[in-house]
Amino acid sequence: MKVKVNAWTVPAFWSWDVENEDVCGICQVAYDACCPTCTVPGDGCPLIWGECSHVFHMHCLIKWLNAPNSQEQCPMDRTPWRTAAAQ
Amino acid sequence: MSLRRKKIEFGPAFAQFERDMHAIFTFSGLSGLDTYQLAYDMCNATPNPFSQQLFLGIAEYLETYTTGLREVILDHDDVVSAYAEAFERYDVAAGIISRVCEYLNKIITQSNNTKLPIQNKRQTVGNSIYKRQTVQALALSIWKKNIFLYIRDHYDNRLIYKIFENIRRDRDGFDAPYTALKTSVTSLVQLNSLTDQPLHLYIEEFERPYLVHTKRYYEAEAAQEIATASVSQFMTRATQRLQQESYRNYRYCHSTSHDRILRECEAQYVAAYQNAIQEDFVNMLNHGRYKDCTMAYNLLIRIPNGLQPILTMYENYVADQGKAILEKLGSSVAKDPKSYVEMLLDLHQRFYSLNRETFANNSTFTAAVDKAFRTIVNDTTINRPANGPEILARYCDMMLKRGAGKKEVAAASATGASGKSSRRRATVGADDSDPTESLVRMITLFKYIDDKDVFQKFYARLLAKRLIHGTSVSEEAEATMISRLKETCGIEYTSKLHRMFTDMSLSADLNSAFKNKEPTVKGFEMLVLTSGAWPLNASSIGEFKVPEELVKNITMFEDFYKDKYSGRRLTWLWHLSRGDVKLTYLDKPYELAVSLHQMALVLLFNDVQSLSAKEIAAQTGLSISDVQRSVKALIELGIFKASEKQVGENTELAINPEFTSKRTKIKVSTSAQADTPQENTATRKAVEEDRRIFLQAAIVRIMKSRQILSHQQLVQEVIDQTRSRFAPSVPMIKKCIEQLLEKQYLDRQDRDRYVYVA
Repeated sequence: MKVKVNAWTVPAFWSWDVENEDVCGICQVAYDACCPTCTVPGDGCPLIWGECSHVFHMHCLIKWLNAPNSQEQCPMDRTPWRTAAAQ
Repeated sequence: MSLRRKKIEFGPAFAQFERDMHAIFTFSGLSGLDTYQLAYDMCNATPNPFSQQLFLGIAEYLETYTTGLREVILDHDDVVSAYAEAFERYDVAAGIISRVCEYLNKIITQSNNTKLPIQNKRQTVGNSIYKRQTVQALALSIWKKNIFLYIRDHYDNRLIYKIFENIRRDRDGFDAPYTALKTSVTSLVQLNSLTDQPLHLYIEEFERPYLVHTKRYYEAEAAQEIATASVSQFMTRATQRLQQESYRNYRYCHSTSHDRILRECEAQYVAAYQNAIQEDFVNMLNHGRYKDCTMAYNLLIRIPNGLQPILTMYENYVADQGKAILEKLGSSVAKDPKSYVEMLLDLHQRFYSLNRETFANNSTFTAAVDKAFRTIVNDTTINRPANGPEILARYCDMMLKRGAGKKEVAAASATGASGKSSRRRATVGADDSDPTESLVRMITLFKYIDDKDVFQKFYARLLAKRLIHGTSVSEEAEATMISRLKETCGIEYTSKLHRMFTDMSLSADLNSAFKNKEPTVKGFEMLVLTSGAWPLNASSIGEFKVPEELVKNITMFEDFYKDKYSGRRLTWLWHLSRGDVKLTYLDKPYELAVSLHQMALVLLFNDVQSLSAKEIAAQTGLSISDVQRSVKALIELGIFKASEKQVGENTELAINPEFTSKRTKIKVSTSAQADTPQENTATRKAVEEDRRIFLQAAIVRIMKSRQILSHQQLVQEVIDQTRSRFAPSVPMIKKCIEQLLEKQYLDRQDRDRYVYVA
């Protein structure tokens, strides 16, 4: 062994595990960006997965579920909203 | 004394009174209390009081007395002094008599005729010409009539004429009877002091003609001065004259006329020749005649709008000085942000102290300097590379980067001839200036920047590099700088920068958690960054195969991460990675700080002696251009040998077994750390895109609250809302409006009105 690695540093981006360039069905803003009320993307503005396979910014969905006419359904397919368990 | 009413005869009593009165007026001894009693007795005599007769008797006496006095005054050579002296005595004596006749004054002014109906109330005493008034007022009115007005009407106004002549002599620099002049002039106020218009006589008889005299005098003098002297001498004279005139005012005139008289002098000396002063102002600045500048300032501030022209000149002058600096810096300015910042700060300091020392710290001059600096840092027409926001961001980078001074030396000597001067500057700079201090000063210039968003973008990108490459001088210095930016631009401006710091500390926690779980992993660090918050281009990662030695760590970490956070994905930024390798095959062990690409490349030679560039590309998964870029620095240092100077696909590369160096730790420059022109273009593009979104958001916000607006109003409001971030161009705003019309956020109404569509 003539060359030895002493140390190395690797940066990585983390992003939500969703289709790239896709947008939240409620606010139409990219998943990787944040919901309209937040200013910085990341931990502060997480996504939420439904059992129906639809994904939203969590803040957007909470706002929707709190709206009286939502009837606690997924805004995309109108099935009762159930948050998916962590994979 | 006795208050009882007595029966007395008026004749002898008044004769006595008149004698006493005369004694008082001639200051030849007097018998105060007796005279007081006498006056009281006459006013209270039985059966009929003699108050009216007494008053008229006094008047008659005064008429005669003043007439005599007038002749004495006029006989005198120095009329002014004689008048002043006589008046002073007369005034005192009249005051005494009036007090002696206190009881009489009361009867005459209040009068017993309250019983009479108002229309019959007589304003004069008896059938005489004298108004009901105190004895003092009577004395003054008689003086005014018999002496002042009489001289005016019958002796060609000799008194006033002489007064003016004396003041003219005073102005010419000769002695004048100052006290007599003062008394004479003040007598005009005094004479009317007990009437309804106390200043009337003074203004009519003295002030008005005096203003005319003043005007004529200075009109002639100023004309002569300007014709024969330089502007500087002229201003000295004008300053002197105005000062003298101000003393003269205090010396002679009533305080109400001070301003009017000075205005007249200013009109003749300053307003009439303001153009000459203003025209010379640039010369004064150019030749450093700052005393003249102060004089010009002090003269011109006296007249309305006098400063305006020199303010414009001053602003242009400051701007020109700044532009000269920019020109001198030339196209190398982008590489030398330190000179840019320091020279401009020096200039700024110079003009701020000039304002303080020369222009009395007048806020309009400060504003002129500020305006000029705004032009300097924002105008790129003089020197295109001198882009204020970008250079300031680079300056911050330089100050906050560890060993920036040293690195600059290396770079400078590598580029050759031009290196020398900048090397000296760089080393000097690194030694003697405290970076935090310099950054605080830099904020001064930052405040002038219009395009704060451009600065932000560049700053964020450079900060990202500092954090990822671990080259930041200290976390504390970074935090201080960001809090300064926050102070200046608000919390939103720095929120993304804060997010970057949060990511760094989260990554540190993550690293220690990972190492706890996998104690076998050594020397491996990762930074997990929030993808939207970092101004890095993930698309330029490029193909890369992680060296076998390292791939295990990566997979382990990926599993660890997935376990900890579900629903997240990691994208490794290979092109931004770095590492340290140890070379053990040379005369002594060397440590190299390299990029991950270079590391992979070096590791290949553990097994073989030489490889072609193409083979390297195949084994590392890198593109040929990436190989070329990575290998360049290694060849330059002599660690690698290449078969051709220009590395091509088929160039054979081998390690150099004879490599030797004095240092055992070598930093190999990595292309990823240097700025590429593409990155700059990308940054600029990102700025454009952000602006477009910002403008559209602003337009929608405004329209939502206003519903209907004309084009002009909308553009204005957008500009107002945007100003703190950048200076938007009107065409760009128009374009954004059009885009919103297309997207049907807005609709047209009439020709130039927009309506908000909900």
